Amino acid sequence: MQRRARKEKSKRRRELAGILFLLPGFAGVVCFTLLPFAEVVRRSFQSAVTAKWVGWKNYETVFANTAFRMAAMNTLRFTGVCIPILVTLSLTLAVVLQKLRSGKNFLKSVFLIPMAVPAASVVLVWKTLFHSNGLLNGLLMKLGGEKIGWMTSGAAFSVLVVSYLWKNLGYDMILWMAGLSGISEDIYEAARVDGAGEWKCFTRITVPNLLPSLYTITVLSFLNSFKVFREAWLVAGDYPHQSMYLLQHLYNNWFRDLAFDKIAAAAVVNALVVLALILVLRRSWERE
Amino acid sequence: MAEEGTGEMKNGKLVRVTAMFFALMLCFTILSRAADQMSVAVVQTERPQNRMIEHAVRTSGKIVQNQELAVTTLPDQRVTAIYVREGQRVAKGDLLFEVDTGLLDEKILDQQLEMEKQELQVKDAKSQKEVSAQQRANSQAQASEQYSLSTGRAGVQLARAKQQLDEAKEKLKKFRESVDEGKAGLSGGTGTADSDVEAALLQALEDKTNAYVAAQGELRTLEWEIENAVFTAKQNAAAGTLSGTIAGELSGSVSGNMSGAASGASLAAEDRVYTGAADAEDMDEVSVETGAENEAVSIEPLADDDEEIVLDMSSADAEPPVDAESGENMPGTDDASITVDMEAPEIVPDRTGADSRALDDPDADIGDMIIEDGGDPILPQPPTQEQLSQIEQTVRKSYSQRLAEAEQKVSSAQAEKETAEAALVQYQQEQLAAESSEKAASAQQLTADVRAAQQAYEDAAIAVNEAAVTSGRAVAIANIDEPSNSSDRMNEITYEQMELTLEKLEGLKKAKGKVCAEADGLITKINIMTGEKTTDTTALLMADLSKGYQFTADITKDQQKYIGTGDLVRLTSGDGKQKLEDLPVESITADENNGELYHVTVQIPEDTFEPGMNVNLDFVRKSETYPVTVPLSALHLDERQQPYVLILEEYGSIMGAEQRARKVSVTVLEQNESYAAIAEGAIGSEQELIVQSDKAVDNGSRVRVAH
Amino acid sequence: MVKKFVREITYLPLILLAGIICFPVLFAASGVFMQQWELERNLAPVLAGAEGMAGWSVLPHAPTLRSLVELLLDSPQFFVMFWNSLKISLCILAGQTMFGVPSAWALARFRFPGRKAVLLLYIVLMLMPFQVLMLPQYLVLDRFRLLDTHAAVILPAVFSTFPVFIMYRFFCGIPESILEAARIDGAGHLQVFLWIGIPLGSAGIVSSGILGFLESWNLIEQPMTFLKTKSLWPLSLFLPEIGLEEAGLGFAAAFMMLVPALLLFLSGREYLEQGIAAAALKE
Repeated sequence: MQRRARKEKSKRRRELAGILFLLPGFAGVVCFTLLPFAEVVRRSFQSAVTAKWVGWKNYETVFANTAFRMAAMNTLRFTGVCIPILVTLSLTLAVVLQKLRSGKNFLKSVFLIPMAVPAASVVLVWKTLFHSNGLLNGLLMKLGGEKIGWMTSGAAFSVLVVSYLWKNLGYDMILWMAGLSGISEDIYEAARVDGAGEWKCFTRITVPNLLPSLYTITVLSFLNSFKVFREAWLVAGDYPHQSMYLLQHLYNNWFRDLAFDKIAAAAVVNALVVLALILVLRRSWERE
Repeated sequence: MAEEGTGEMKNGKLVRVTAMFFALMLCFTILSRAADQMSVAVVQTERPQNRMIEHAVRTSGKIVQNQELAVTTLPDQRVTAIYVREGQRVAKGDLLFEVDTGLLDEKILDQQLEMEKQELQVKDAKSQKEVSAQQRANSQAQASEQYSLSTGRAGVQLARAKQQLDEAKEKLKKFRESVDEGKAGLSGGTGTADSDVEAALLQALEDKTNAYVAAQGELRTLEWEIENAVFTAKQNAAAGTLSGTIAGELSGSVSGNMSGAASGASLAAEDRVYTGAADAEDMDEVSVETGAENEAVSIEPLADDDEEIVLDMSSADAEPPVDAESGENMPGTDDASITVDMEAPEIVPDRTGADSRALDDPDADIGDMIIEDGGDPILPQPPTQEQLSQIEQTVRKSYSQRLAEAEQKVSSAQAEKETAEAALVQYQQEQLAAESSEKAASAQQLTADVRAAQQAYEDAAIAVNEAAVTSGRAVAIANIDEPSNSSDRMNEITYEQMELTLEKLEGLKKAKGKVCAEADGLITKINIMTGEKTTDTTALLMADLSKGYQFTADITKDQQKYIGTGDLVRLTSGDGKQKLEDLPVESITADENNGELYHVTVQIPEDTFEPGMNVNLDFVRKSETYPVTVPLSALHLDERQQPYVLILEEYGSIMGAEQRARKVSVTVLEQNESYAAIAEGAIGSEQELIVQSDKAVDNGSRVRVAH
Repeated sequence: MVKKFVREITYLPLILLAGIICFPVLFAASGVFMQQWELERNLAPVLAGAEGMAGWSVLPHAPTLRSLVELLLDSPQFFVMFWNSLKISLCILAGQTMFGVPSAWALARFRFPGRKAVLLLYIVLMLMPFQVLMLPQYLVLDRFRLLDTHAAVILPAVFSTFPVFIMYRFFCGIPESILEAARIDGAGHLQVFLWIGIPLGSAGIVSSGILGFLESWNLIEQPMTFLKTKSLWPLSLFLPEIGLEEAGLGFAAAFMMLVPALLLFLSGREYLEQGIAAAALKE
């Protein structure tokens, strides 16, 4: 009994120590993120200027706002298109690279470089590439094609996708490779002994074993998908072609216009969506 | 394990490279900042101030005397010694120079001899004058005698004609009465009525006749008047200058007597009168002194106008109508008009008088007069024949209306008279026709007698008029004064002048040929030389120290803007030892030849600066107080010559708050050599202006303020 | 033999892909060594609206270091921003280490009530785009009067939850037995953290540091929102402002911004990979 009590005591002490370790960082998070976010939640029910309680009116305004709907749709479409492409592409690359005997490290570095390249450093490059008189159109015309208004038509969306893929391919590839390295070579050996081919090995052994990583990779890709705004903003400014007008553009513009009520409501909605998404993903992963 | 090791090594190298990179960046940071600071202009700034703009006027000039005295001596004297030199100060009474007394004695002797000669000449002239005066008195007496004689004779004849006329009338009357008495029985009462009618007709005829005679007389008088006027006009034209004087005096003093027309004319002439009067005065003086040295004086173009005035005067004065019975009045009135005309300097009546002979004939030849005048030294420029005839015409023209009127009057009076006569004749004839033939014959005889008598009476009356006019004219002309022969007076003047010269020579002799200073002064110029003869120019010039000095200097047009008469200036002697404050500027005048130069003068108190000293003038003109003035070094001109200043402006740059120059165009209100006043509004009083910079600074140049 | 050939031939698309991925970097790098006229000729159709198509050659026709020299010697404003960027990045790194490491340690090594909720909260916050948190952060920075100071950029980033998440994964990987041994030896919680946790989790700390540096070196939205004074700007805000007339300078500046990131990336590549991989590890 005494031992148990001691154990209880030490357990409580450990809990306390853990909380103490966590506290400084958590206090900062609370201070700089949580409390202000609570304030934003409160504000989302108030009018911007008079701070009068307006109930759900801000939310109604936001949902009725065509710009918001368009930006939300674009953002969803972007994530819906990009993340699958990125995930499959990076997985393929990771598997191929995994098989290589030499040059593995070099190629890994090369593919990772875009992650290190600051967006501002390559603005000029993007502009030169995707301008209607730019390099890409020059190449197209040499091949006998037509000029495409990369930044001024629906193609702007694909520009967004390309820049996102360029930036995150290496990162996701590393993530996959980490997952691949977690799979014991013995399993493959056993499968090969059983006469399984490469493809069979991949579908039957690799993919199931990588499923836990998929959750993390998807979440991180989702996280990074927000950062594509930098490139979009640097290349196309505050009001790009509507096919690449993302929620971030909208928030930025609202913020500049001091439409705090709308931005507050939209931020709350956004946060809830993210939360819901994570919970869903987590649950689906845990069910596996 | 080995792979990890090489990885570690490689990483270590890369870390070193990274560290080196940042170190390098640090170096470049410092280097680029140093380079940047070197390229930034270091400036000094000032704030606009509230101040006056001062304009200094500085010039140097000389002290000069206010008045110069000329020392003269008689000409043709030999200078034996000069005791002064230029620039010397002399006191009153100091000996200046000396002339040769021997030569002086000779001159005196010569002068005395000359004077004796002159005296004799004067005497001759006097005796001549007495003779001519006698002659004149004689002719005057003769004329008046002639006048009384001829008028008396005409009067007797007139009286006789009158008597005859009356007798004839009486006879006719008596005859009528006898006829009437005879008739009375027959026709009862009509006789008296008839004789009454006839008497009335006769009376009318008589009246008309008298009127006719009077008109005739008037016409004659007017004719004479015209001739007289023409003569006077020509005379005046010949001595046009004098008429100016006459006109002037007339308009001045006689205007009260003048009729409206005359005063109007005189008013018109008044402005000319000034020049005329002035010139006449000049001439008076000259003629007194020199006797003959008269200039023609350019009044000629005025002569015409002046004539008119004179003529108006005479016509106005001669207005009283001349009656046949009161013919004596006429010469008197004419005399009056002439004396009014001649109330001017003596010379005028003289000259008119001199031409008395010519006046005998009303149409006297002007040429003769000019020839006579030609001998007169007073008229060096006689009017031409053409001018004279023109004058005559003008005069005649001015009278033409009156003449025509008079003639009209005469002819109408004659016509009336004739009508009356005809009426009478008709009546008488009617009477006669009603009477018996024998009675008619005698009545006709009587009537014819009356008419003849009437005619005779008329003729006699006219003859009386004519005699009165003609002989009156002779009297008038004889009464005109003879010229007081000017040569006589001139001789006297010459003598007097000689006397004066002699006096001077003797005075010089008395002073033993020494010439002394008349006042304290400074010799500024010497024109004579020892041993040379003096001329009639000034011998010495000296500054009159008693009249004070003045400072004169030249200033430029720019300076002239800032200094004016009455401004208080400071004068400093060239060596800076002497200083005078608050002296008012006396005058500032533009240079006649150089438009950029002005002369400024300042009166100097006594006993301060000496004439000839170099003196500096200082004056500071202070403007009003301007709220925004900037140093001139802050003011620049852009390529369009627009003035601007560079103000210091803070701006947020990547490098932090930095300062740069900003160009601000301004309007300059006033400026001197160190400050400029700027119109308000362009820059505030808190703005820092760049006044100095170690590098060229433009709009937008980054600058750093030096402390 | 065929198998070997197939293996060899797989390199080709990989190298091609690597080339495409590296192209922008090479592009930016070659611009540094071009002269202004060459840049203008190449870029005028894009940046100045001239006729024709933009051209580019990876190898400059007339290579020069002029732009680089001009940038390094004549542009002090570049250095102002360079050091601004570095200051912000290093401060963020230091802050993240100071606050993030203990938090990650606590979450990984201690069991206490609410731990799971905190973890979930951290993950949710980590995934929030900046624009969602922009307004709350703006409000609190305004309250603390930190707007328009470097602290406005630094402080929110210090309390970012992403590094905590990465380090948490690393700390989770430390075997419990080692810590238990230390405790039996009488070490307190702090000693265990300092003497065992940090050394064993150093790879995670370094990799999160590298990730954090790359992220903070690349910050755009935060300084743009919170910094008004130009002299406080980091390099990442300055570069987009460069036009054609300064293209040479722009390329040089972009290159100089790229260099530290690449150097750090290359020197910490293995840690970086470990850090990235750590995120993928199963919980």
